[in-house]
Amino acid sequence: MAGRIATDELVKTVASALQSVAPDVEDISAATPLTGEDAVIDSVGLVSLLVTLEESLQQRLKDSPADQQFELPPLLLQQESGEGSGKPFRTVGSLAEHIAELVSSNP
Amino acid sequence: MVEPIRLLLVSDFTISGWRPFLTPEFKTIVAPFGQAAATLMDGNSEIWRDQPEMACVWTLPEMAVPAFGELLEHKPVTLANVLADVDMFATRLHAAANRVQALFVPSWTLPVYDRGLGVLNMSPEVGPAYFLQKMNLHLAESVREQGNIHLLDAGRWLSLAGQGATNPKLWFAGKIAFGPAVMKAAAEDLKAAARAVMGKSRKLILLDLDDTLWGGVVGEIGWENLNLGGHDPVGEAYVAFQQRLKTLANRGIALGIVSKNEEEIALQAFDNHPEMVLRRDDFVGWRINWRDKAENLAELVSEVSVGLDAVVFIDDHPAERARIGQALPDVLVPDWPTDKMLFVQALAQLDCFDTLNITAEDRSRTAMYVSERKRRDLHKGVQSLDEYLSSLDLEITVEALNSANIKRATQLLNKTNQLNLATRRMTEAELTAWNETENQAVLTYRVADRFGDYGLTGLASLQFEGSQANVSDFLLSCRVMGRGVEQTMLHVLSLIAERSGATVLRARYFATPRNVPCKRFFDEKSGMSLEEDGDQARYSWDLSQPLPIPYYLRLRDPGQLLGDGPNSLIVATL
Repeated sequence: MAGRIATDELVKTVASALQSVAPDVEDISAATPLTGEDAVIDSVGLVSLLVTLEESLQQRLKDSPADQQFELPPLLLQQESGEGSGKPFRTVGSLAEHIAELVSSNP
Repeated sequence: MVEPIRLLLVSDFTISGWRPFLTPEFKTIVAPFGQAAATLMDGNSEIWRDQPEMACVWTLPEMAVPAFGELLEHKPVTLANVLADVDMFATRLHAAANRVQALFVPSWTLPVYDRGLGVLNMSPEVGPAYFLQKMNLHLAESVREQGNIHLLDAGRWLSLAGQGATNPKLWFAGKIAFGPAVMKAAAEDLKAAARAVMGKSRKLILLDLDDTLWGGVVGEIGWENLNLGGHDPVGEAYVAFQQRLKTLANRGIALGIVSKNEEEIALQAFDNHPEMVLRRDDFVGWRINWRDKAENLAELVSEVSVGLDAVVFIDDHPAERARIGQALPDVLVPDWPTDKMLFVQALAQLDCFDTLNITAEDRSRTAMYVSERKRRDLHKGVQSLDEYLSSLDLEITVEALNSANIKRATQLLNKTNQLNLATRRMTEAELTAWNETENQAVLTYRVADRFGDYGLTGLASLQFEGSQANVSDFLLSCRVMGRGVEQTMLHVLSLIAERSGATVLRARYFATPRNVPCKRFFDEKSGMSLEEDGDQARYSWDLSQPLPIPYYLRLRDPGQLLGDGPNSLIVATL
């Protein structure tokens, strides 16, 4: 099994990435909305967030023990292909869970 | 609460992602994507209806300069072709700059991952890096005369961001040219630039001594044993820090000391240590004693006559920094590294000193403040205010606004708050145009005494309407307040008005949160009569005679503005 990353740790990772692309957003939590009418960022901000997350997660996974390394599927492409219009990208928390599933489901 | 500045963003890439970094200082308006040239040229377009106060035009070199785009495709292109396109771009900037107070233009950059032509990148014939530098330099020269177009060093932002500066994924997904680290650095520089435009740069650094300017506690070990210079890396770091501070002083940032020490022991270190870069006369004042630093700092700032919001406090001790930060929240107290070898870097990274010009007067500001310190010492030794003022041997030189003093005059107009009647803010071009309008004139006043030259510290403007002469601007640097200069400025205005045939001189005060001292002067010391009181108080003087000039002042009029010659400001046609 590829390296697991605990969901609450991933929430912090997503939150940190969100802070770096949208420093005006305050009190980020798992419930902070990323898409929809009440989203704290627009579509441009979401693109920046996903690319930033991809970079930091890819680096982190590369630094994992050799038997746990793998290529994370591009979050950006998933979002562009329409998967992002659904639940995985709805909030900080749902995005963190989605990433955790991607990581742990890799054989 | 300060109103955000309305900022128009014009770009040929998706720039809306920059907006979160620009709050709360700016309220941003984004020009339509792909219409940079049209937005700049068409002042009637809807985007200008919100009347932005400032604008930022951030473009990609291959889009804004088509010939450069062809160079990148290895088509045959000459430098002349490229610079002609730069001139066209500059024309668009000039058109837009006339609609805003300030226009900021990040310099052109290329993606950091792109090696270009490698060894040929700096070739004068084909090198993209060479051409890019030429383009940026040519643009800087082309916009210099406009006065309110300011190029920003975007190359530094990309250097800070490193590999994350540009990412092709961002471009393909959303036409986003730069990563968030670039956006963050860019926003910090833009905010610093806006503060410079608004006259809110910091002007005074107050420093601790022990383990800040030198290593060791001077009261414990004596000046001979301080860690300063020598072959010690930390000693060298302290010297470099002092050198950097001196560099700031050379461009007009004043230095002062607030330290818990025995004054004489501390000052001996400045007088005697062979590796000390800073000496007594590099400081505009000091409070070296055992009192609370917040009280000392407030006193010293008041003595130097700047606002607390013009001050930066640097101290190695976190508790002292916390004390000042809590007691005097308007003072900037930057976090300070514990590693002494990083002091010079921390100082170099501060973005609170940006100014739009560095004038000869800025360069001599420390000397002026030191002279002021000596005047204060004299004042302590004389019996009365009149005696003191008489002993100063004050001389005021009045000059018309001209090409030699326009920069300093504009700086003064835009930075003076306390003794400022109308608080009008204008660019160089606007002030020049106002001065050149018939029946209007701007005068500048230079002040000197036996201790030194204060420089150009006063500005007043006059506008004739029939038989009435109106004082449109009246402002004076706070460092020469209260010495009769104000009365002399009014005396000159009333002379010109009276000799021009006006029968009444009027002045309208416009209240701001900071110019109460100006109202107090007009109420109590100007000699003019109060016609209407309130936030727009109006004053008048019957011009059957001019307003008096204090007996102890000398007035010089080298340009014969008050006489009958060709330079006279006496209006003959009233």
